[in-house]
Amino acid sequence: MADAIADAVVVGSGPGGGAIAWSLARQGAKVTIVEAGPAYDYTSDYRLDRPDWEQQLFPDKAHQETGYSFAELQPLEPRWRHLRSWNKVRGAANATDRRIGWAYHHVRGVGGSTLHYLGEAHRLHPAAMSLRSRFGLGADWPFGFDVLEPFCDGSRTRDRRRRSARLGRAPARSLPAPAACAELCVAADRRGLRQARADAAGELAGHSLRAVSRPSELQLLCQLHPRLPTRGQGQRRHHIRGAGGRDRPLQRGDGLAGGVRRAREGRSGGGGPLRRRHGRMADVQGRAYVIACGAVNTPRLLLASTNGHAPHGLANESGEVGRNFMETLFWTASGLHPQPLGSHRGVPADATCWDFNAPDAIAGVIGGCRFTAGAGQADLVGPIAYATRVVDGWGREHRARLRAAFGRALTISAIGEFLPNDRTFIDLDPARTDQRGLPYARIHSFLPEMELQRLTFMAERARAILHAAGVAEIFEEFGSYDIFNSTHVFGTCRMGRDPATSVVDADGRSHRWRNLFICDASVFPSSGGGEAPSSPSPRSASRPAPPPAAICPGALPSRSRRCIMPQPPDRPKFEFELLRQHENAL
Amino acid sequence: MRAAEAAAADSPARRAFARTREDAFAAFYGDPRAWPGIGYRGPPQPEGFPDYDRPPQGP
Repeated sequence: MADAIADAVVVGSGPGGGAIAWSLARQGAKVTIVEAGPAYDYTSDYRLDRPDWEQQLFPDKAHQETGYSFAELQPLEPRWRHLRSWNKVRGAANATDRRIGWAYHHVRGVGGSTLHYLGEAHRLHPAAMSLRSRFGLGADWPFGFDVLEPFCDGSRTRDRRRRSARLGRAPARSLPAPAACAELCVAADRRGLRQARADAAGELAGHSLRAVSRPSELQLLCQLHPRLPTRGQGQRRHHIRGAGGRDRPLQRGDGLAGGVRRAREGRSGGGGPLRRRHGRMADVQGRAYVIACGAVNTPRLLLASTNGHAPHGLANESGEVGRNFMETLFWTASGLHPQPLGSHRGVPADATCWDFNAPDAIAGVIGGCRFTAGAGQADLVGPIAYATRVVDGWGREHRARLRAAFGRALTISAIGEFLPNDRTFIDLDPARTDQRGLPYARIHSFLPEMELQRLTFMAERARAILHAAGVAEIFEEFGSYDIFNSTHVFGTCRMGRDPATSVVDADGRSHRWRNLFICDASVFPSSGGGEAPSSPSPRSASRPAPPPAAICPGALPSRSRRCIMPQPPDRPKFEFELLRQHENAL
Repeated sequence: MRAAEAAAADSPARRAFARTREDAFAAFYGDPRAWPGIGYRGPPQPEGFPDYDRPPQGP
């Protein structure tokens, strides 16, 4: 017997899927979440209170296939040698003459990438949402920042944030900055970075406000204690649990989206088989479907979902699914400050400079960047990292120097805009499939001249800030030029007004399949000045996502329902066939 | 050890040294008994760093 029909089936429970599920459930919709990974319990799964915490990265409960591979990346040129990644102790991070693919950091689990929490918060730059019309590059968003902004924080902080955006600032912080940030902020001031200096003076807020902000219904609670560098699970604690409250019907999800195996036109409420525990099959049916698997796995799922009605993949009538991939353009530089700072303490990504994240803020380059204190990104928060990466040598001398160095590492991290190009995209790997037979996503990445010029600016500025802070010698630099290493990725199911050049409309809705929505960063037309979140964040999920009224028929008069959910032959519905791997207790 | 550390970057001796060093330090500094000697007070949870906004006090 088929399961009850959900108003919405949400595939993926990360910052996009979890948030939209929460939003829909709040309005009375029956929501089923389908999630590939297991559920985590922060009281038992995370290990930040154990002696071996530093050796335990994300606590994967079981081996999980990555589901992606890399195509051959570009050769490296001598003229960009100043962008190579290196460490004083370990040497070159990439000793070859070709860029290597290291990782796309995608977390599988109930909560998705919010399970791995470093305290970063990002802000789209309004001007970066209209790169095409302003600069003839990339693509425009189908709406402006003014439309997105009200969904950012809810009404409570809306006015304050609007005022802040106008001023180019964030609201006042709620907690003091880590001590180590003071040195960076003073140094930034010497380099003319007003924002970061103001953070130190307490006049303005660093982005850490949102990293450690007081929890609310719309804002994530940092795990256990707001001052901790932590790998949290905010999404699950807030949005998914909130969606599952007694008065918010949530059909508990199970399973792994193994692929949309069929897409049939003209049928509604059909539902495809979902393999349940012990191999039993059941149906997942929804009036609408929301894909929220991230900018690598969402196109993977769509491209693998072919049939006679969608021969090139679901929602790929334009051929744009997988194209316009935008990765994280990043740079980190670390050095030792002459004074003890205790820089391993506190929220690791605190103090931010937004002075260069406007599209025209960097001379000679279109697309901006931002700088932040980056001890967390650099993973310089424990003794093993110091012993192996900061201090060379061996024996008593090493230990003595380690004692002198511990807590003095300063890191500047920069993230930059990435403009779409024809050589950077996602397709299906013809040679690799996962255990369920779903082809791997294959990542193609190319850094053109402008990206490397922007990266050069980021590297030079990061070095300058460290030196201005009193760092005499940089011991490590790590960047995108020779290593693909991305967390925040975008663009592969671009939203736009023109069905010929985009995959979904301004509501995240497929131009053709009218009950199919995409709610993750794959819909972003630009990466927002290096500041775009990795998904429509919990704060902004309501916008680049299904308008709740379209999915919650119960909230509308019947006439409206018929109007909103038409089924003409050219606007078909589709069905899922899903395979599951885990039974998750949400 | 010093000879191995000073060997050419791609030499077997240097590689063996580097790998041994990484493993040894991970084992050594993953043990709480090694922490007081370098001024490290312990894992980030459950207490956190209540003094995170002030300069560190002593080792």
